[in-house]
Amino acid sequence: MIGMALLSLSSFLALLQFILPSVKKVSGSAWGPKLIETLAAATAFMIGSAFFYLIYVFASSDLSFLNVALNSHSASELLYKISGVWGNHEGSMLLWLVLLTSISTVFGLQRRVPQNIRMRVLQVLGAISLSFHLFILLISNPFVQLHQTPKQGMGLNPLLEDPALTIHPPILYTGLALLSVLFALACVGLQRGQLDKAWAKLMRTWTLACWCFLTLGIALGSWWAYYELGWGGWWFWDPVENLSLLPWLVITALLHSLIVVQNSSSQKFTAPFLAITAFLLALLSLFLVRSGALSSVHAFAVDPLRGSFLALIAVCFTLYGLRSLFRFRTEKSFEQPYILSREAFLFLNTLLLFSIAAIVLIGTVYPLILQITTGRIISVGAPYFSTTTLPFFLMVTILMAASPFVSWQQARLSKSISYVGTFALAAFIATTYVKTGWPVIACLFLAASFSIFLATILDLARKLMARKQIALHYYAMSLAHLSIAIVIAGAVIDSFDKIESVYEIKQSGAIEFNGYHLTLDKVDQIRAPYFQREAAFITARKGEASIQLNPEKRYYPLHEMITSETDIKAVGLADIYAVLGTEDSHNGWLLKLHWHPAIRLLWIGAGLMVLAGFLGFVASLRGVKSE
Amino acid sequence: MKAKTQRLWILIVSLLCFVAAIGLILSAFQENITFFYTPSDLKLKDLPTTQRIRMGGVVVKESVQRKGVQLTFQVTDFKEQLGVIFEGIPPDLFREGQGVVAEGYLKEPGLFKATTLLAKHDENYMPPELAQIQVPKE
Repeated sequence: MIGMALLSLSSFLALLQFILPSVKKVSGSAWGPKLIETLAAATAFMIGSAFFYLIYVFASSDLSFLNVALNSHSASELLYKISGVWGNHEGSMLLWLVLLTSISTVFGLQRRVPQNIRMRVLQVLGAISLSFHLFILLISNPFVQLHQTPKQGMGLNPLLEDPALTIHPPILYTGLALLSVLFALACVGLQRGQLDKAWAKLMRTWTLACWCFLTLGIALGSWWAYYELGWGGWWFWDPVENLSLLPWLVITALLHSLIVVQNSSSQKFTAPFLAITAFLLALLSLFLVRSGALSSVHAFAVDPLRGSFLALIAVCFTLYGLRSLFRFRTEKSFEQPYILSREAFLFLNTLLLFSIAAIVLIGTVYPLILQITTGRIISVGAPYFSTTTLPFFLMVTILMAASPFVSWQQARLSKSISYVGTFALAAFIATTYVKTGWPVIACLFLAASFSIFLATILDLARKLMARKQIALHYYAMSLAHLSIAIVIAGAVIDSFDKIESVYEIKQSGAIEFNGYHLTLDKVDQIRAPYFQREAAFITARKGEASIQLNPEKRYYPLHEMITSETDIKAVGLADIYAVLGTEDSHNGWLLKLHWHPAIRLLWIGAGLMVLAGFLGFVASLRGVKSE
Repeated sequence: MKAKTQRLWILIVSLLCFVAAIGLILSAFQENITFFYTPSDLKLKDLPTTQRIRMGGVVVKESVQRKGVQLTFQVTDFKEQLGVIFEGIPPDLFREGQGVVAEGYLKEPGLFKATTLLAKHDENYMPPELAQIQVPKE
């Protein structure tokens, strides 16, 4: 009852937030904008209370609620009882709404944004929040109560009982909620014809915040897949992974195209177009994932009604976004970029990133379309995505390495580019010599990664030597490019140099793996309150060094489900990775071992990317004038 | 540079990018798509052993055998059966009497060499590929 009351009240407030700015009496008055801000805050408060009530219900294992009964177990840890709130469809939609309304409130508090713009943006955000309020109230209610209280809950899917997955959804949803702000800002900017430098600056602050959260969310998901699923990979081109990548690619392009708007007021159409596209892609993903059209861990219970409603929301906002885009008028004073100028490079970068997003989208939805139209079932996997996207990614990395050497509005390349070019060629030749088994594209990527590194460091050093004042945002940009170079190096080395073997090992048996001598000391049966564990104790020795590995198998009687807990130990930048298989009374245990020679570079790079985004965010808040 | 030439360049570069993307997508779709078959489909077809496909059905009860790191089992769609061999650790949710999707190639008629096994994510979830298989009621 309490939950429903709070939800209804907050829906009403969202409705007011959406409608009132269109009422002349309100929007024209002095108190109008203040009222809308207050409404946004009140909505956030109401929906936040509903959310905390749901958390309370989960934490106290109140099994009279259907949602608790289906997704929680009284014996599980408190952390996972709470994360169970968003480990299911209904709760996760409520979480998304909480974050959306909180972010709207924060936006309402931005005093430096002109009052009328703030009000219009809050109106668009109100429309988004209202549509999801209706969705939750009508067909996705988390507060459904049972007539009969069951004795015990069904528990959360054991795969989701994990610290990284506890924070992964809130972080990704924050990123998606920030996408809504970008969408609203773009639509309002287009409608008012105000795509000026002030708009670009405001947009940049919010885009950077959004970029940080999306990057962190995707990295956490990838890390979880790496250690939890036991396949030893970190990116699978799984449909849902792809869909989360799409808005990231588009707002990375947006971030760069905003620099152009800020510095030379050209390419004005690109930025709002990208912002609107990113949000619409997020809505499309939500529809595809939650309608059950895609197979994934993220696909919760399938319900066609939900799919139709989400499709309706997506269609409405697509129409609204298109209407805003058609309002765009080119201005007379359109400054033209030169070929080989920085504007031209940034334009090319936008084009390439957008093409990658389009390629990934097509590969992800093509099987669905084919199945609906012809009934044929196909799958599009890693080979498609690597052959199509890698050439484009490579061009992006080349642009990144060359970017410090171009200047604004001039077709002039700095001389140092020839050093970096020569170095890139040398690095490529050296890589093909050292890594004879590698395909050409891998050597190209590694050379590109080294070149980005050199180019960025060279540029920073040159600026420092000239005793120029370097702005914080410039450090942020350099760090972002460096971290991408690190990610590329880690990704390439891991893809082509990892070692993977399966062994059969008996108690106190020994095997040789990648120079390590491994012995299986024992396998213990341990009873935990919620599941049973079989933990292997393995010692890996190489010379003096010895590493303990304890991969586990867990059996959850409630779900009749077995999960593997991998054990991963770092050796420098490398990981030694062990997965325990099943036992056979005659032959012993199956044991899978991986050697990931430079995987830590990937996680370090991802962490530095988020840090770089944060630095850029701080710089844009400070309002440092860009160079 | 004149605005017109400039606009022309932008158009040319965008078109090139577009054509390259379409070309790559089409050629990748030619080579890198994996079709899904049931054991009955495979009975009727004569597929080259080089073609990577996905095959799925239900793991026949008491058919799973392990020899060293090699796993053999039978997959059925309740019309036809097909033997599968796989090296490695099967997914945690791989079980007899449950649905499985195997990716690999047909080694010889009646024997499928799987390089990857995909099972369900949780007990409530069935891969959509298997939705077409009618499980007879016991």
